[in-house]
Amino acid sequence: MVKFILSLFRPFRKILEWAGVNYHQFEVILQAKLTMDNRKVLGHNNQQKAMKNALGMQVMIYTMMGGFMSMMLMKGSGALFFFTTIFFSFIMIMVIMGLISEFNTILFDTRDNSILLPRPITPRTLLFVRVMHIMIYLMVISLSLSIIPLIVFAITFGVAPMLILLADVMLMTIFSVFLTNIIYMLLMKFTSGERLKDIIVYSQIVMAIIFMGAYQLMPRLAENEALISSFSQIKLWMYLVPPFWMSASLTPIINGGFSLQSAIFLTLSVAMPVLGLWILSSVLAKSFNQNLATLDQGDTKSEKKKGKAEKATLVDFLARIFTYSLDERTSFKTIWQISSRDRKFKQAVYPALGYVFVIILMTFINGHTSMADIVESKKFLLLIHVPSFILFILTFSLRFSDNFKASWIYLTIPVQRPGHIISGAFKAVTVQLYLPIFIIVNIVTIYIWGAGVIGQIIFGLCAALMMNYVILLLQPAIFPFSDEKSAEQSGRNATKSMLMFFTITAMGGLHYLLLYLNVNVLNVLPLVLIVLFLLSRKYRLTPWNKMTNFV
Amino acid sequence: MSNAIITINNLSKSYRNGKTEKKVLHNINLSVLPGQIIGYIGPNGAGKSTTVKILSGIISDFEGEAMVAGYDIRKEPLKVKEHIGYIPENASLYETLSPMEFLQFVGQLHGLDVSRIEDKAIRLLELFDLKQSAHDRMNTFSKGMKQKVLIISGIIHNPDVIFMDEPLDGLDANAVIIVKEILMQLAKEGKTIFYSSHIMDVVEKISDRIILINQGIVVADGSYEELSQGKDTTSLEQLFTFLTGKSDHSQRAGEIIDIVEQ
Repeated sequence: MVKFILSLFRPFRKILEWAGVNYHQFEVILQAKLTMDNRKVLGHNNQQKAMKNALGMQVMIYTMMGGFMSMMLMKGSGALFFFTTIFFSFIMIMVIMGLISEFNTILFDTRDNSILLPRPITPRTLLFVRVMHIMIYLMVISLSLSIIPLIVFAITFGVAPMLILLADVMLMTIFSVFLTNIIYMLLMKFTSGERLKDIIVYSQIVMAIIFMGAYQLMPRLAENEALISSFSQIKLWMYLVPPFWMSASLTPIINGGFSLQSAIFLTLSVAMPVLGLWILSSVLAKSFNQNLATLDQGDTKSEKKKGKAEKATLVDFLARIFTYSLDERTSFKTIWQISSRDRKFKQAVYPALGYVFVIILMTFINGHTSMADIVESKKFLLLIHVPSFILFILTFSLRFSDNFKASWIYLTIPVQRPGHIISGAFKAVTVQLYLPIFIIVNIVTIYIWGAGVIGQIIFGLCAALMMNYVILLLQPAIFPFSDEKSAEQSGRNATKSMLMFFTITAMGGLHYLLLYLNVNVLNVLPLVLIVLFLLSRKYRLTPWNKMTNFV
Repeated sequence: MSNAIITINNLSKSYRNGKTEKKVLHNINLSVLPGQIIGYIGPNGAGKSTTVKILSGIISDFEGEAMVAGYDIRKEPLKVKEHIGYIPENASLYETLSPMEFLQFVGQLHGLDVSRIEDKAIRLLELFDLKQSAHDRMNTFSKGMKQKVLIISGIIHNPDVIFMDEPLDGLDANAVIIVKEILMQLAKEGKTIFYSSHIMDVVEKISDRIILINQGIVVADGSYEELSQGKDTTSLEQLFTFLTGKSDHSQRAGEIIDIVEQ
């Protein structure tokens, strides 16, 4: 595979050399980078195995996603402009997301600073390697997303339009790379290394939430006649939005009616990516390498955070309320601090906070239901149970960290019951991230449905916590932030998501059944509270021989 | 000194963080002759690694002038890099490659022939007791094993100047002795070693010139004998303490124990 990809560059050797690239070095570095990509590592500690078919799996998932997209394209030529715009926007978002999520291995591999920078390699060669490495990675994403749409396009419109679509997809990918690089370079110019990493994490979170929102919103938009018909005319702002360049030039080629406007869009769709690539390789080359070198020079900041003392008092207060022992309290406070700083944890959990609002919002704006109908309905169950999504994400994510090796500390402390540590940790993230969202969402519930639902809310909260303790007790007991997240575990996310979805639906369903049967949940509440107490106690008393450790 | 292999004039470097700027090197002037082993020492945060990174072409935004192997590092960085070897502080490697693949990679970037690299690499790996693991991926290696690969990668292309930043970190006693011997023999052949370290006894034994940097300023420069002349010190460690103005160690140790025992 690596050799095949490298062979694709050989015909362009002269052009690359003309552009100032040392072709031999270019090939040597690209080969090493692609070999490393092919050897993605999974497993923890030293029991690492080579990931098999990592690329194949990725291609398959993206192909399936592209398959869903192609359903829209199959709607025919009537709304082709609208649907191709959505398709190119989708490709652009996916490429940008790919570049953001793999930024540390693809874009900012700071190991390059000590391995490549002291070698006699021209900045131009290094930049071309970097750009080509990114391009190869992202072309895999965009082409796998496009396989099924391309087939659908070929069947519906013919081979020639399919080839144009293929070219557009590639141009869109190139332009997205340029766009992301520009943003990164601006960020690198104005922020320090650590802050840049924070910004990247937050943008990943925002992108994930936007993506989830778009995923929910798109089917509704595809049925919105008014919106589709608004695409019947070219508007001035469309010249500024890249996906329109591609769709507005592709549509008249297929449907006929190629005009001056179409020619302008066609020019933009070809010229802008090419121009972007040129700017990237010639103008920005030097500054990128220089900025990268400064990325891992460490921060000299020693900024004092405002309100730190007050925050510590609050955490102290909460720890005293929610914990039983000194060990549990200590764990609560420490994990509270780590979870609010650990990037990997934020990356895994924060999008879930956004998803909750997206899901709730989408359910309420669905259809043309009036407020009176909503009040009559039992949709408050949704508001009570959807936040459980956060709780389950917390349970699954709490074990992982980039600094997982630091968990040796748990094995050296004289704690009688390690359960106090894991229980304190779980309580910390629950109080920090789940409870505030649950409270905010259910203030809305009380506002809409009145104080009468308070009992339902308390019941829902206890049921969610109870269910979560069941999940915690069924899983192997692991210290917080003590395991390395691997590709294998990431692959299990789909199963976990299914389990989460099933559990939340089951809980909501059960709650609905109780309401349907006219059972007063307040009568059941004491039983739930007893079970919750017993489960939390059992978890807190987890002994050493039940602990799994990876140190 | 016209035949100097490293010349630094008024070298300064600052790091910017938002609106604040921290100067880590202040107008450093140095001249190093071929064949010298320079022990570049100083407390944490003194600016040692920054100097080494500038001279190796990793950091390019600095003030002042720096010439290495007869070339201006700012104007002709590639020429400088052809003549130097760099061994970084942290075992920074592409760990999913094997030592052989990594050395092939580095050797080719320095323009060496593939078969020549393979021959040299296997012999060097054998001398560093790594032949058995030559084709294993380095992500399973210990810190010391990785450090050995880094040392080989820094010298495989036969550089004229070798910059080392804590090169003995993680090495076992035998490997430390081998590296010390290598450095001394290379120096005899006219190679220049710029050796930055915290391990004072190694620096004392192998360096024929010691440069002490503190808070970005060169505070001492000379052989151990020259530097210790007229001072009541019996080792480089004591001299270091004296020159960096931190001689209250036993008082501090006492205070630490007091706190621990409270």
